[in-house]
This record gives sequence, C-alpha cells and structure tokens, in this order.
Amino acid sequence: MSFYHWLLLASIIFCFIACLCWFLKLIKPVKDYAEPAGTVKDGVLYSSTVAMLPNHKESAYLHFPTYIAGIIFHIGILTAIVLVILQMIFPHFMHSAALGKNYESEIGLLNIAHEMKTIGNGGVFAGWTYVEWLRLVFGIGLLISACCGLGMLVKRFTNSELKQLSNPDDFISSSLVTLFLIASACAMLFPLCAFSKPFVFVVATIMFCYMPFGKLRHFIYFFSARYQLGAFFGRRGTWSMKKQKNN
Amino acid sequence: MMTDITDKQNKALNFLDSRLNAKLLTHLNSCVHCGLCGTSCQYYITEKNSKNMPASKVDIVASIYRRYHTFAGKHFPKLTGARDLNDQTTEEMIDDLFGRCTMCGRCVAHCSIGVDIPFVVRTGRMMLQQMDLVPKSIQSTVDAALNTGNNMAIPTQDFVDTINWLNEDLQFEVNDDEATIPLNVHGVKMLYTLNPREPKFFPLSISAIAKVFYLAKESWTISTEFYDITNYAYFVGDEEGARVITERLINEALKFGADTLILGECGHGSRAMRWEGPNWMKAKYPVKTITAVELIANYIREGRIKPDKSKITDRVTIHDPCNLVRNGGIIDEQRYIVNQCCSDFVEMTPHGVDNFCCGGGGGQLAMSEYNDRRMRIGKIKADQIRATGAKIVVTPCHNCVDQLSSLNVEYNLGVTIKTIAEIVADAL
Ligand code: SF4
Ligand code: SF4
Repeated sequence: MSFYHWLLLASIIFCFIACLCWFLKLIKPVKDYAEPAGTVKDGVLYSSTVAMLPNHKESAYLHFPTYIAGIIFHIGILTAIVLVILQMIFPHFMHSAALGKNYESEIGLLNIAHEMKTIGNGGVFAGWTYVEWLRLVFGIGLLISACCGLGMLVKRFTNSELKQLSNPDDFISSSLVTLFLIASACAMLFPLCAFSKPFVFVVATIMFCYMPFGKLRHFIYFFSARYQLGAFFGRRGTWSMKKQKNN
Repeated sequence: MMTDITDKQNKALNFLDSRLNAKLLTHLNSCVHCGLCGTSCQYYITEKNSKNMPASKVDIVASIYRRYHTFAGKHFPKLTGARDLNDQTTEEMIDDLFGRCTMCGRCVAHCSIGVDIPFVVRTGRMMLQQMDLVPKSIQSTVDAALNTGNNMAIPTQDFVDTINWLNEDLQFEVNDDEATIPLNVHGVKMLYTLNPREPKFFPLSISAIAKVFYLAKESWTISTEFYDITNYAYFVGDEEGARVITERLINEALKFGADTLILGECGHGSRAMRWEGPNWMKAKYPVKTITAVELIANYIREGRIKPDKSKITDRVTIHDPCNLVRNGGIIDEQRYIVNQCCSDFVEMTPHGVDNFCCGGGGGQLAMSEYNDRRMRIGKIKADQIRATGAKIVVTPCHNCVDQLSSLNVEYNLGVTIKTIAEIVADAL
C-alpha cells in the first residue's frame, strides 16, 4: 500500500473514534416520569418511515428540486465513501483486463462479471466488461451527485437568507464533500490516469479528518434526532401508525 | 479569545452544561442550515427575514453551545459560527426566542432532519431566565401566579362572588334551583381546574362546564385557593416556578380526596400538567389527570350526556391548540365531540397535528411588546378561518380563545369563538 492508502486509513480510524465519542453521549436514555399515552417504539417507527416521506414534509414538497438534489447528493456521498473504502482495502478493486491492467478482482461479483461475455460489440465500448459499465454508471452517478452538491452550494451563496444563516463551516463542508464526489467520479471514469486514485484518497483523507469538527458530523445526529422525535411524539400518542391509518 | 463573562452569564452557561443530555445534544448538533424550515413557520411566512427562520432560533442557542463545548468552537469560533455569551447575544436571544417563536412546534415535523426547535428555544429561554432576562411583562404573569395562586391575581373573594353569580345562570340553564357550582367540597371524585381568564373575562364558560357536569352527574369541585391550570413559568423557562404551580394543583386534588385532576381547557396548561409536571416533580403523580376534552368525549360515548346536533346548524370549524394537539396527542376527541354537537362541521386546512398556531402561544399573549408581531402572524389563522366559511370557531384553549377573539376584530371575521364546554352546553 502506498502512503496515501495509509493516510486514508488513519483518517478513517480517527474519524470513527471521534464520531464514536460523540455518539456515545447520545445513547444514555432520558428519564421521563409522565405516563405515556403511546409507545416510543410506535413513534420511532413512524418517525423513521412515514414522517420521512416527501408528502409528509414541507421541507420536501414545498422545495422539491432542493429535496431531490439533497437526496441524490447524500446517496452519492454514501456510495463514494463505500467505493473509496473498497479501493483502499482492495488495491485492484474494479480493475479489469480491458483497462490494460492485471485483472484480479477480489470482489466475487466483479469476477463473475469479468468471466461473462463482453456486452459491447464495437465502437468505443468494444471489449467492455461489466466492470467498465459499472465504472461508467458510478462515475456518471457521482458526477450528477456532485452537480447537485454544486447547485446547493450556489444556492447557499446566492440566496441572501440562506447565506445569512450559514457559517464558514457550511461552505467548507459542502465544498469538501462536493470535491470528494468529483474526485470519486474521476477515479471511476479515468482509472488509467495516474492521479485519479491519489486525488480521491487525499480528498477523502481531508474530509474524514474534518468530519468530526464541523457540520458533517450531522450524520450521527440525524439518526439520533429521528429517534428523539419519534420517542417524543410516540409517548404522547401524536405519532403512530395506527393514528395515521385512522386519519 | 473568549470574552469575560458576568456571574449571571456564567450561571446560564453552567445551566446549559447541566442540561446537556442525549436529547439536547442531539438537537443542538443536528441542524444543517438548509433553511427549508422557513416556510413552515408563521413568522417567516408573514415576514421573509432570516431571523424568523426556525433554524435561526436554534442557531442562537447552538452557537453558544458550540463556543463552550466543541473543539472547533473553542479554538476557531468563526469557522463554525460559534458565539460568546455576551450582552449582544443575550439581546438577540431575547428578541429571537421570546419575540419570534410561539413554541408551537409546527416546524419540527417539517424539518429535513427532525430538529426539535421549540425544545431548543425553551432551553434558550431557560438560560435567559437564569440571567434574569425574561421580558418583564410575562415575568409579572409568572410572579402573580406564584404569589397569589393565579396568574391574574384575582382575589379569592372576587372568584367566589363570580361563581355565586354564575350559580344563578346554571340554575336557569338546568332548571334546578338546587344546582350549584361546588366549591371546596371534600370527598369528590374530581377536582376541576380552569384558566383565570374565565372568571375574569369569560365566566359563562364556567357555567357551561358546570352544566355538562350537572347533566353527567359528576362528582366534582373547584378549589377557591388553587384552580389556575395555566403555567407561564413553563414558557419563561422557570422550572422551579413551574414545579411549584404543578405541585399546588396535585396537592389540592389530594386535599379534597379527588382521585382525578381535570385539566381545564388550556393548551399549554394541560401540556405542562400532563407531560412536563411529573418531570419537574421527578415523580409520577399520585392522582390521575384527564383533559376536559377527553372527559366530555367519554361522557358522550357513555351516554351520560346527549347533545342534540340539530340545535347548532351554523357552520363550525375547530382550531387545534398546538400544546394540546401536536404536543399533547389529543387529536380526535375534539372532532368527535364537535361532530356530535353540530350538523355542519368543516376542517381548516391544514388542521390537526399540522395546524398553524393562533399566534398567541408560547406566552405571546402575555408579552405586550410583541403585540404587533402577534397580530401579524395571526393573519394565517384568520385566513384559514375565513376560508372555511364557518360562523363558529371551537377551540379547547382559553389562550387561543383570547387570540382568536383579537383576530376576529382585527381581520373582521364575524365569527363566534367558543370552547368545547360551551359548544357542548349549547347542544344540550
Ligand atoms: S429544516 Fe431543520 S435542518 Fe434545515 S435549517 Fe431548518 S432546522 Fe435546520
Ligand atoms: S415553534 Fe412555531 S413559531 Fe417557533 S420556529 Fe417553529 S414554527 Fe416558528
């Protein structure tokens, strides 16, 4: 493994430990002496399912383009993180003979893909295996996701109220993640470029190092917020699947 | 470098420190500043100003938390917008947390993450209370409740005189010269509580509930000493004061041997007693509590009272008090009652858990300095009412009755505002 592999590994371990410290503070239950009218379980179930549907949240249906951009952005981030970790663990992840490298995929699925017949019959796609197609799909998907990130960043810069609400961390966090998506897309689309892999690894390292300090750590609090909200409205009998059906 | 802080500011910071449990930590760290909550808040809808965004109200408290409790906030405050607690921030806190939020909680379900905005607002109000920075107008309401037993400082004799006068009204209504509103009766099943606005401004709502109890043959009484269901100490973040008010009512129920405390028609009072009080007392109550709305719905279901819906033919709509409905889980009962009492019931849009606040919640009615804002944000409710075409607006909350009455005049709605007890009494 090269130095940037080690850097990335160290940053992930650092990020994990720091986020674990934040997370551990969130798991101590808060005592409530009031007699419940409903159950926490029911509320949390509702909070993490129905209450999240776009037709139940004004932040979704009144701001649909932003909502969709946000969803694509977050799916992209999750995918990019998984991809970069796989690339770190398996140095030849998603390499294939068609890329002019020794193919030795550690991933069974891609190995099978390699064995299968190529699906391109000619032109630029000639000789492409599923690996190349997957790279293309991931690459384009991540680029679209990066565009969504860019769009939201532009909105943050240009919408005066949103700008007033934002602090430097909001801009840095969004820019960093968008850059990470672009780097991840490059790593997928330009596997033969010598810089594409170091680029995504270095950006990911910076992102993981920064994550525990700024708003990027909201990924821990998001789940906790859904739980707390479900517990609150569930105990009070406001949120439950049963009430939802009755109304 | 952190600025020097006064003893009071230090007290507020220590207070914040002591409250940092899983729930508060979650809500102080969750907001991603997406700004999508603005369109769910009546303040922002009526005046597009970033200060009115729910996220802004969270951020003023969260920024102080970040400054004193996070690495980045301590060492690079500008990076995360972390702020010192100083005279400027406290001034902003007063305006944002007392003057721009009714703590209705409408934004909560609509927030993209699920930040409990009013919970953070209340924490900020508690910090201000620690610094003796609660607006004087609402503090005087709390002081009156703590010093005299009711928030309007009504002398006991005046209260008794009002009830005696209402007895005549009750006797006429039920056609029984022996009918009375029972005061300080020991050995009853239930102790009834009410909003001091009733004896002061809306006494007929007391005779209305008395008529319901008379026909349901309920065993009940009112204490002349402690009958006030409101708890403005809850709004100002004075948990010790809120505990005292809560404990008084529980002790009063025990004193009269009642096994149930009826929470009169007051949204925040019911919420404070039902959901917050046990936590202030750090114990489960030794008596049961039930809201007047649930009790009346039970009477109708059990056939103890039989409303006649043909008596009320005017179109009726319901205004849902935020603290009773969204934050208290009482959603269907008032609809059941109104459907049993009225022949033409229509819902507002939106309604139920998604309702808009009347504009008077969160102690706004007691803070005259924000009257203009209160009436401005109330336009949303006025428009909702007008759109229903209703002639009668029913709401199980006297604070809402007050605000709706003001809106009725301000926006020329031409409606009558009634409590649940009043509409039921009319249908009996
Ligand atoms: S919607 Fe929620 S997360 Fe977004 S700015 Fe508002 S409070 Fe913050
Ligand atoms: S609680 Fe109500 S008034 Fe306060 S910010 Fe949320 S929507 Fe606005």
